[in-house]
Amino acid sequence: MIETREIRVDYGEVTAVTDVSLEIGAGEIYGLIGPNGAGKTSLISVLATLRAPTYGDAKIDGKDVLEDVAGVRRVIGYMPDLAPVYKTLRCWEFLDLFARAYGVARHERRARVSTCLDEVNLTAKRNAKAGTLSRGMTQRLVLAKTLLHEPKVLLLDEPASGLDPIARMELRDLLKRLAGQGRSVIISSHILNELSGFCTSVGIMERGRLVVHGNLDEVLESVNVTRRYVVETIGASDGVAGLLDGGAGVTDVVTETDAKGNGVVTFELAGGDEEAAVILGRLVAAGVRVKGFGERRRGVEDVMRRVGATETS
Amino acid sequence: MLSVLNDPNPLFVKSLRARMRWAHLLSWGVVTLTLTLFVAMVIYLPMVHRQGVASAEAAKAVIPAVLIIQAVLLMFLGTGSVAYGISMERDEGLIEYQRMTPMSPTAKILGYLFGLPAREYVLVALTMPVLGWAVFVSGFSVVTILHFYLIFFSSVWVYHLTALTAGMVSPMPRMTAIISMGLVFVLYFVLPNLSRMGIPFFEHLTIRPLLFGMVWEELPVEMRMGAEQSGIDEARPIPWFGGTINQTVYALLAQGFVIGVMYSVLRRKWVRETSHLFSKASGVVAYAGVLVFMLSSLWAIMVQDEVYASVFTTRFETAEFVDGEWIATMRNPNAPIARDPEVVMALLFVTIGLMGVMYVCMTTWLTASRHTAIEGWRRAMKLGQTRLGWNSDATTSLPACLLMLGLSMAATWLVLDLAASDHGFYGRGPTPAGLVLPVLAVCGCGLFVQGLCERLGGLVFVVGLFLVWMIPLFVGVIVSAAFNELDLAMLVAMPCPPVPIFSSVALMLETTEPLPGMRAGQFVPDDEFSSFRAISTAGGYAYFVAGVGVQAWRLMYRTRVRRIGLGAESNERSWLDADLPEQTEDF
Repeated sequence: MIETREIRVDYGEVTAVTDVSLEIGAGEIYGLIGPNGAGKTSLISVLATLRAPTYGDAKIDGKDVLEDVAGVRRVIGYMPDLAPVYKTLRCWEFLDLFARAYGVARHERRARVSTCLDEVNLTAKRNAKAGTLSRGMTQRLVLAKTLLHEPKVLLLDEPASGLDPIARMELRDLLKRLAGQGRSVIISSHILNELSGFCTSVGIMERGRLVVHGNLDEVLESVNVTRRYVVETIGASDGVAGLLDGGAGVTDVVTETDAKGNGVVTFELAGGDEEAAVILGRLVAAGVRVKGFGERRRGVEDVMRRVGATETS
Repeated sequence: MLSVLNDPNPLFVKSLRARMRWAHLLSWGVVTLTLTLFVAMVIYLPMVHRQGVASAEAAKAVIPAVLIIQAVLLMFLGTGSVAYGISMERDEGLIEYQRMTPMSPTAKILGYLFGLPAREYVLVALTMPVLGWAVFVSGFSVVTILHFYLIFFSSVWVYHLTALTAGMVSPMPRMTAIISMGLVFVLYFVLPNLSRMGIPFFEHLTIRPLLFGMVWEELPVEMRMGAEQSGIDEARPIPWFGGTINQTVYALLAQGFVIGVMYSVLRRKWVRETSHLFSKASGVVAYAGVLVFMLSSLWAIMVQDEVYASVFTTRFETAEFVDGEWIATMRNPNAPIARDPEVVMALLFVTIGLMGVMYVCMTTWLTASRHTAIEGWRRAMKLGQTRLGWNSDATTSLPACLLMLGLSMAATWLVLDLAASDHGFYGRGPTPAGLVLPVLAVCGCGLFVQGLCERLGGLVFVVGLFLVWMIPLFVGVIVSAAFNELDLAMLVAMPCPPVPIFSSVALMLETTEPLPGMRAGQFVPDDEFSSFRAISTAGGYAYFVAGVGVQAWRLMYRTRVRRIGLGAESNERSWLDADLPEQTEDF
């Protein structure tokens, strides 16, 4: 559905994207992760036909983004990073505008507008002026606009920014549902956790390059990211560090005490759930009063740092 | 047509919804209608009741007032609405949504053109009953009114398209509304005065000639308030090369040309925002179009006695003081018209000045920035090409600029040739030797501007031009004013292109063969002629050398850009100039 080959984007002598090749099939949700300035927005702009690549090919649904701009625009739905709206239009008017512009048949327009408002839970705000909506609601309204013409491909640039936790969950469900209908989704974020759990694959961008991509676990595996665990104890955690230090694959043990005097020990573990269960069992068997035990999810910064290190080495 | 009504342009519908809510429409409507009625009644009633003017005559006086209100609504407020609307959409990023929709660029342009000023159109419609009443009561010619509206709306679209274009291309979107209003002011009150020099193009982008020349003409003499002025704002056939054309046709041609140019720019910008305003070919065509309009007027002045007389001879020879009033005496219309060679020089100066401004603007618009050129070469390399497309944005603007220079010089030569051949300005035109200096000066300045623009680009180019051109000019003016040292002033101001070009043209005209009994060289006093000749010659040659030098600098730069684009050379920032984007935004 989406295919790019050696895409390069330059802003003057500054190269924003270089040699990005991707293939995303129908029904896939592809998470594009990377820090600010990594080239995510530039890559999405090329796919959205808003910027011509310096060179390279990109095809969406078999249509070339340079040769068949109109054809590509018909099959994509694009949501930019800072999604603006016409503040003086009512929500339904805003959607009706784009339904008309995308050529939705007159007799279907009203129903499409209602359906899309319903999909993003904005039916109650149908007659509200778009300028009166909160940031999260505005994001949802723009998402509804993106879905109006039933695009085969969705290009969403940081769609979750400004959404509250419930709205984020709803966004995940909606995207899963759309992917289930055979649509392809590219969603960018600089927060890894935002994308984990529902992306079928991810790509990590750093300084314009797609340094690694594939299934999320595979990606973490490929960049050799160890998991960091946290153990919370009732009372001081004396002796825990000693117990952990002897364990296989355990490194970087840090012992702290919280405000109530309880112990908090964090450590790196090169291994999976099995190894973690063994360590927990050992702690309990040694009489440590474990209040909590779990994995602390890595931020994209950690991954990026690791990716950067891999690149350098 | 039916489908347009059945399913109107989405952008038009959007603007109707955004700008024509009942509350807004009602308040604006009440204000407009009240003001229009007030103006109409304040003109009509005192004339009828206090001055005893017939109601038909009084109602006639109301018509121009209502037309001016309509012009203010559409041309000032409407233009402001268009500029503000498009610039806000661009500033907020909403325009990207519209760019993505599968509507054609033409549909988008039309949607904004008629949608953004929709409220002003409605307000104009609200004033129509007042106008209808005045026309009915006065028996004013409906044909004249319809004739006026033809040009009125065409002119409105010129201004609205100007605002739309400014909004789409301005680097400072939020300033667009102010820039557009300023542009309207210049187009309305400054440039039409070129009609006094026989160049009616800018006057006919406005409604002035038809409003004052046609509508005003039907008013009683005492109500005209001195609207007619010599050579401007008159109903008249427009000189066009060897003949004349109807004023309305000329206005439609001029406005149609501007509309066509604006449409072409907007279309390119809708397709891709990063495109230049003009392709190389369309830029040269637009330049040639303006030259044709200017040449048509100059040609007519050269070859048609009546046109020359109407613009350049004084209508009134003398004035006598009779009964406490100065009475002008009309010159004898049968007296032979004496052609003045100085007129040719004045016309050439105005024309060369206009062409020069246009050349600099067009060069700026056609010249690729460094990163556009590098991108172009990278793409070419990827596609296995060894050259850039001749019409691509990335390619050098030198051929297009040379073509524009060639067209300008050919047009100037045509005018000079006409002045010399049987039309009473000169006995014989300039000799080939006399032409060398102006050609060198013009080519030198043209090459200098193009080379500097391509080498430096952007703000650096503008600042560079200011330093190289304006500071010497200012110093020259000070030297001239303070010490009356004209030679020294001219020498100091020589880097400013009008100085070498105008002085070389003046020198050329000084050395043309005069008519029997006349002396051609009247522009420079005899005692200053030799130093004038020396300084002009030195200036012309020096500029040519400077132009060639800057071109050599440009060529070295261009070669390096090509090597960087092709990956043959590293691209170190130390070599770069200051106008590159910092990599601080989210790419």
